[in-house]
Amino acid sequence: MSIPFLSIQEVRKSFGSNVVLDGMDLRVERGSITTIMGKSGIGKSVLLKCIAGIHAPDSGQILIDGRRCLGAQCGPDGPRLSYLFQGNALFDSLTAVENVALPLIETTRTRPRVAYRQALKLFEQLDLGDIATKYPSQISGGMQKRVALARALITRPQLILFDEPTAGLDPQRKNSVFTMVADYRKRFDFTALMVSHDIPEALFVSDRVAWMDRGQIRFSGAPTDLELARDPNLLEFIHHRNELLSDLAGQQGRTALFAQWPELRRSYDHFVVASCETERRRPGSDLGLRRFASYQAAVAAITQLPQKHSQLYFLDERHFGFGLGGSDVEALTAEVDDALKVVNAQTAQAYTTRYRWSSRTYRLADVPNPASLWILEDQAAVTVPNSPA
Amino acid sequence: MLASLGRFTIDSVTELGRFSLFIGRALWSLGRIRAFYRKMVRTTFEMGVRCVPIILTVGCFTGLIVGLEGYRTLARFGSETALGSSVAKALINGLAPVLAALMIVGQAGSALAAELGIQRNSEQIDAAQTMGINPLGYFISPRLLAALIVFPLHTVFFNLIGLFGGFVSGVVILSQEPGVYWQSVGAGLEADDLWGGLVKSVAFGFTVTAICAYEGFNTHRRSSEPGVRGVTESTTRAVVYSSIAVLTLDYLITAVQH
Repeated sequence: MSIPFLSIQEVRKSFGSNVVLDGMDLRVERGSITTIMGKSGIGKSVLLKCIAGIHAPDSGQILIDGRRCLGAQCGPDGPRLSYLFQGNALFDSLTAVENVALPLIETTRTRPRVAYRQALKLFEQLDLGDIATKYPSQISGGMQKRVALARALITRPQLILFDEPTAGLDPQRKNSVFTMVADYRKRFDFTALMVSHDIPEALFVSDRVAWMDRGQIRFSGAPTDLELARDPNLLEFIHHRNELLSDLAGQQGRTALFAQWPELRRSYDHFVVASCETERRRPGSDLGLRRFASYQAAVAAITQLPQKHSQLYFLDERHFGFGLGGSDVEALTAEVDDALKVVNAQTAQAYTTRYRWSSRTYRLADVPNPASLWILEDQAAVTVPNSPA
Repeated sequence: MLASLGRFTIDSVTELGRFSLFIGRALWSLGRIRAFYRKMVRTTFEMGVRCVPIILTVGCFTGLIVGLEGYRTLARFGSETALGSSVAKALINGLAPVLAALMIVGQAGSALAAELGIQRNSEQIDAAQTMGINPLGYFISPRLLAALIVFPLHTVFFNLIGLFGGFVSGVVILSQEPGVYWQSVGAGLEADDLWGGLVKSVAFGFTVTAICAYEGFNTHRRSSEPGVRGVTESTTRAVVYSSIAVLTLDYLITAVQH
């Protein structure tokens, strides 16, 4: 196993009786971008501040490049570290160029004139235009972020800690910040540890992802591994959009399905999963608004079925499920498919993109829990479902 | 009751210890500050200029009031000619250092606490630390030294304006001879009073700046609520504690002098 550039081992940190970090372990490889995700207020920033030396951990150790030291306390010969604060933390009384040159002037023997020259050169490299002599209050939030990033880069750091670098920015600026992080990492060759809530944007620039919950890292892996994760809290966080859609659709979600599964098995014979495939006719981006409209149409069609069925469970914006009573499975399935066919025909007329709803029926006696259902669904997705035209 | 008293005592001693460490570390970092003189000159200028209008106004009115009241009191004993001396005595080692300090607390001290509180809330102090800059050396030490220059200067300034206020009361309003007033001022001035006033102003300056800086710097730790409320709390505490410190120190130094 390679030696990580940053290694966090069994770190604990409490504020009074509030335990924030409870035996935190994390490895960050040299030259990688690692993103830490997690709900607000669970201590992600505290972790970054422990690494930066602003907070001292109660126990455990943080090794940067194999050395046990914290942030600036590593000394001039130690690994160089920079911190990009959520609110940028630019000094109000200094101009942009003075802000960027400050670390050089204050911590190295560089003469102010030389430091300003270096800062201006960096401004050119980072396309910061003519804002050098402006004060932070005179420039936009996006520009402030770039100045803060320039200040973080001026000392040629080996490790940069990004604390929610896109907080408060509009979607376009968020994307440009992520692009900057990925681009500068290549140009300036640093290791990045980033805290971000922006899913999925942050995942595209990350080499590794860590999920933090209850003071510990509960998941760590490549961004693509997230799709294999089974922790309900993590799934809820990643698929936060589903929560909104499930509320809008007026349905209970996966958590309720897990809780009510035994009751479903007692009351119904089958469980039907309705799913949607999208057939795009022209290139372009999709917000999912029309798909959600077709979802609502499909739900309405199923709700009107005369057979005994349970409430409908929101699984995600492409799937919903429900328990179905009766013994004649084929007839029941045919009726469900007929209802979905009508929906498919209606939405095909309304939208250029075609949304094809289909269903799969499972005997509840064969499915002990929803997790088993996911496995069956994964297999079904590989095989061709009984999709109505 | 006893438990509360014990907790209060422990908290007070702990806080005093932290405050002492804060001052000690700020002084310790004096020697390691880059571009120290530039920072100190800038801080002295900011602190000094900010307080000029208030010192002018309060100094002048204090002189006017002391002149008026003093004249009436002295007139009862037929000693109006001693007005200059009484104004000088009242101001130089008594009112001037105290009032000048209280005015600077209200003007520059509160601004210092608020500024540091905002810098703390906006993570500028943390940013300095992550850059390897000693926050105490960068934010506090130049201000502590600047206070040692600004407070005595403003006290002298207050004295001069106050004496002029006394002159307006005695000479312009109450028609005393100008020569009599200034001669009396000269007669009333003693080197001990002048030094005493300056010693007080230096002590006030250092203490007041240290308290205001400590409160602002520790906004995050001592405030029950973060954000604007926290800054307001620390600024209020800075002004109240500084004012109490000025009056307490004034009493102690005066007692030692006599």
